[in-house]
Amino acid sequence: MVKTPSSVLRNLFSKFSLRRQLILLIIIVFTVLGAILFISFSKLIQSSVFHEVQSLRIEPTSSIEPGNPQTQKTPNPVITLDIESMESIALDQLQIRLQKSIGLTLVGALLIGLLLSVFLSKFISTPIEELSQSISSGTKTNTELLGEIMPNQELSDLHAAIVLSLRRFERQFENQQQFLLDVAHEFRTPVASIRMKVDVDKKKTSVTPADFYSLCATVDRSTARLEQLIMKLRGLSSDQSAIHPSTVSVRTLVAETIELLSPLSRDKNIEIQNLTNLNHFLITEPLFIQTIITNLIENSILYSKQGGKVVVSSIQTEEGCEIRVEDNGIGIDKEDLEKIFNRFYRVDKSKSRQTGGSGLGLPIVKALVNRLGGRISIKSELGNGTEVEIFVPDFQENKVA
Amino acid sequence: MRILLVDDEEDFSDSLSEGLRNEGYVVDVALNGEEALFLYDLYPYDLILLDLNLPDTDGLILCDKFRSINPKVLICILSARGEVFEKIEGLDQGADDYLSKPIHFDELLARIRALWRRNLNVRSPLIEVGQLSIDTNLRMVYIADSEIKLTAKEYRLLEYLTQNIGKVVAAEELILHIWGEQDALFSNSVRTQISYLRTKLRKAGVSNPVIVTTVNIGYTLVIE
Repeated sequence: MVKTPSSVLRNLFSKFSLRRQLILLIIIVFTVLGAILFISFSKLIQSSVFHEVQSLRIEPTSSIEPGNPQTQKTPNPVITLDIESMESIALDQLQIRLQKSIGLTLVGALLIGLLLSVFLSKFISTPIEELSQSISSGTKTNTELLGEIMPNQELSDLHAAIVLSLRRFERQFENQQQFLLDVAHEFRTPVASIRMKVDVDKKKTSVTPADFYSLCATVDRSTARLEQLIMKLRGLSSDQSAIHPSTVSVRTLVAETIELLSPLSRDKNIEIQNLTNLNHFLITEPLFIQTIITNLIENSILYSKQGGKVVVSSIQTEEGCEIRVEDNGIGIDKEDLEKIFNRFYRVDKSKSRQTGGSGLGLPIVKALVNRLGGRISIKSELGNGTEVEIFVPDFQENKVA
Repeated sequence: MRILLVDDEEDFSDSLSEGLRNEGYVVDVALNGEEALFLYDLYPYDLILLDLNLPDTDGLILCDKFRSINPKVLICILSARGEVFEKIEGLDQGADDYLSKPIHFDELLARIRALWRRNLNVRSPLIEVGQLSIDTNLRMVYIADSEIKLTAKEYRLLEYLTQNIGKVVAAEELILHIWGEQDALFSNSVRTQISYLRTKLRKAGVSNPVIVTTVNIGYTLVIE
């Protein structure tokens, strides 16, 4: 890329935050306008006064002497006026001249100001246009989008939020796909039982009543399983069968979540350490534990300062697994700690826009942890970071809430 | 043929084993890996029908174990895991065939016959043994063009002797592979069946092959 002075300037300019860019732009325009006005007015005033004073000066040869041929040839214009009217005529004329000049200058300044702002504002709007084109074109993968570096802070935040949102959708979609595959898979077993029974019975040349009852029993059992599957698909089942427990590797889960949240953490330059053990496993509902961990780590990121650190660790017990998420961020006040699990309770109301998020994370986490039969605890000190600890037991039929 | 069916679904394995017995096979059912290995140790099996999702182990691990104990046993996987990569995994692990559930019984029968032929190095379902033509698909035996009617047991007996043509097959082996253990372990049943078979063959005019008795040892199908 050729480094023209314009592009060098543009790069420099773009490094400022959007707000500063706008301020700078306005200052430049006003300064230029002001300078133009000042210069032209000063010039105008100077020249007008001088001019007027000159034309109104009284000639020293004012006496008329007969017989002087020299003096009679050239009649002197003698204006005998008093000082007051002289002043008022001069002022009037000055006023008219000034008004005309001001008018012209203003128009001129406006035009220059317009040209300047049109030119400079391009610097501001171009990166925004480029970003929206990049995202709406839909041809870039999420990893490519993530890799793009935005020139200033506001765009960088926006970019991170968009990529995170895209990633969330992606993961939700993947979860749904997996769910469908799992359900389809479960159809095979009951269908296989019916199929085999019918195939074998079809070949019999003579059947007994016992054969008949056996066939009925098989179809009965298999159909019951299929009915359960249908319920699962429709999401109507609110009992334990809605929890589809499987073995989850804690390390992998945390690593995937960190990856998912990387646009957010990169933006704030936050380091997230995955200190969970490779050998730690949980038998639980994967969707729930995914949501829990994502919420906890996301909160840590949101409440951390620039360059902060988040540490995720785990302890395996006989009954399940304890997972801890610690950060060295802004922390939570003792008073707020008690109310933190209430929905919509936002710790520092004035900070809500700054930190982002919607404040719904922890109540959801608590509800899910309870559903899985676990516990959650939170320790924090204002200014000294926060530590959230959850315990999730391995899935057992009768222990789930 | 003696078959070991390893599957934890009771409905499925009950119907399947019943169907296979109706076809004249001897079937043992194992509901988990431990039972399967125990039975495998106890009896000689020609074919294993193996499910992969077992409660105490993964079928692929069992497959490996079966192979290492007896490299010549036939293994056919019957599994709910039907994805292509899963089939590839199963076959590469050493299975001879792979069927994904739900399975059609007749298809399974045809595949079992195909596997049996492969083991014999017989490619065609029609086997010529001396004057006899054996159609292994339809389980019919002919001399010239006329059919020799055999009972299920007689057919299996002839088939097994053909499988081991020229070799002496012990009566006990015949019992294990053709009668199962439900029937009493009397070599009398074998002797009787051999005698019936010989009679039928003779009556049909078959002079080649012949069933030769080696006293106290076993029987052999011999071609001249």
